[in-house]
Amino acid sequence: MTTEQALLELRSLPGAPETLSKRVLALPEPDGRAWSLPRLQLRPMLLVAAPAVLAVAVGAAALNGVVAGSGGRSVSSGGGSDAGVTLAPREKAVPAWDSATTTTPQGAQTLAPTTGTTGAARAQALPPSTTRLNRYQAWLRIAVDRDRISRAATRAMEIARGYGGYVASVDMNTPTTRGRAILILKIPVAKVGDATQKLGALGDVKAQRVRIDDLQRQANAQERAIIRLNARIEAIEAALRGTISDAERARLRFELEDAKSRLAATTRGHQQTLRAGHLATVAVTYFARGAAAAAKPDEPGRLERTARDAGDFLVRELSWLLYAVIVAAPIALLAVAVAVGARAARRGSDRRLLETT
Amino acid sequence: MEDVNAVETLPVGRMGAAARPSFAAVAEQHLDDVYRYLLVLTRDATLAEDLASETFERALRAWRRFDPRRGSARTWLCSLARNAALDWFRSDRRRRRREEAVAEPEGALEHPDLGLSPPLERALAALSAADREVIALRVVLDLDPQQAANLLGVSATACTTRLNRALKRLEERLNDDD
Repeated sequence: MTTEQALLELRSLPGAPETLSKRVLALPEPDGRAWSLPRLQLRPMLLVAAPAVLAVAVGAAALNGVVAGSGGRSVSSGGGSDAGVTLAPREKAVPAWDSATTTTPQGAQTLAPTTGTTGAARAQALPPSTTRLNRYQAWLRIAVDRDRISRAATRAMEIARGYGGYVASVDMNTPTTRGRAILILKIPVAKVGDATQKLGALGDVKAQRVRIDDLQRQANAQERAIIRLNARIEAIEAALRGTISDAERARLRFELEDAKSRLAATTRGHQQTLRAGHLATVAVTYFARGAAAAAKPDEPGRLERTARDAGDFLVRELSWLLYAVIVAAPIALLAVAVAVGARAARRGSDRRLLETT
Repeated sequence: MEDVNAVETLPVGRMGAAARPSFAAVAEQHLDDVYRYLLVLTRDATLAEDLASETFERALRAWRRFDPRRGSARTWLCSLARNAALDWFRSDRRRRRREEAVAEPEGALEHPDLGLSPPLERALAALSAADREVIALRVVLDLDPQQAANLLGVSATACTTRLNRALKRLEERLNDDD
């Protein structure tokens, strides 16, 4: 028998027996086709998905840029005064202070610097304590017309002296387009509130900061030290007036000298503390209005901020994507390897089974 | 079988839900092919009948998942038949091992007549199921190399190589019988 004959005979194998046909054809017709997942084809899916993902990413970045770039950042200076101002976005180059009063661990109170952009902004004074000794420090940045810097500085000096204070230093510089006058004023603490308001009224307060440190504890400690040293000196002097040995006398004299020296130093320190508590330090900077604008030439515009924020968001998206790829890629590769390995193993098993059957 | 529905793919829309054949029509059209495939694979008419019946029961249960756009009904049914046969071969092997563990193995059972000439039946009996399967797919059902390869889970080249080797062995057995 030839192979061709065998193949012809194989092709003429009988069909299914009648019993099988009846059994199969008696099977009921299944229900209509239900919903099923559409078959995903990789290439068309990628052609659609890649631009879609890119569009969503860029769109999200653009939206973020528009929202973040155009949003005004308003800072309101509270404190219960009329110094509250809302800052326009372009003012964010100037330090954005608020006037919340904070207390440092050392008991210092700080009136955080406040910025303003309008002429309505006025200096506000944090009231010093009337019962305790305070070191009062204030900083003011006040914008004035360029040709009024000198007059404002002169008026500030008059104000300081008018309240019984003095001018510690003046540094005035008025070149052609920019001008600035920096004054360090010493003003009695009791009058510093009024003085600060008058200093601020000479122009537009752009920033201010007030810091109050408690000196009462330091002054009390110094007073107690002075009392102790005085008592010690009196005791030594009384001992020296008595009958003592030469060696003891020499030792007591040395100790007396030391006590007097320490008393003098402590007394000086106490006087300095009292002076510091009596006179507030107010640093005032008057600057030309044009200088403020010139100081921030690189302040980005709205469009630039929008583009920058969108770019930042896009970079963040890319970093998230990179992170996801780094984390997910090994897992995906492992899953694919397991799936491929399982399929190969199953096919190998099927083949061995058929070859041995 | 994962890829069998990828063969004989029809253009999308040519055979949509409206053109989907009924299960009865598909069963009637391909019942003989499924039975003859199983007959050559198992060399047992009764077993082939049972497995064909089980194949169509599986097809009935999986009918909702059948998508004519992804492949022909014949290859889909053949893949179901192949899985049914493989399941039976595995369970039969386990059963034989259990029996061999407790008793002397019995001689091979004579299979019922396949309706072929005795030399061809003897030659087929000397071949492995793998050889008989590729002959059934390529010769009896006349599937093209790619369809058969997808069904077997191998490349078309490998499928052709298998067929050539199987036919060579068949020829050797026929010559030995002469």
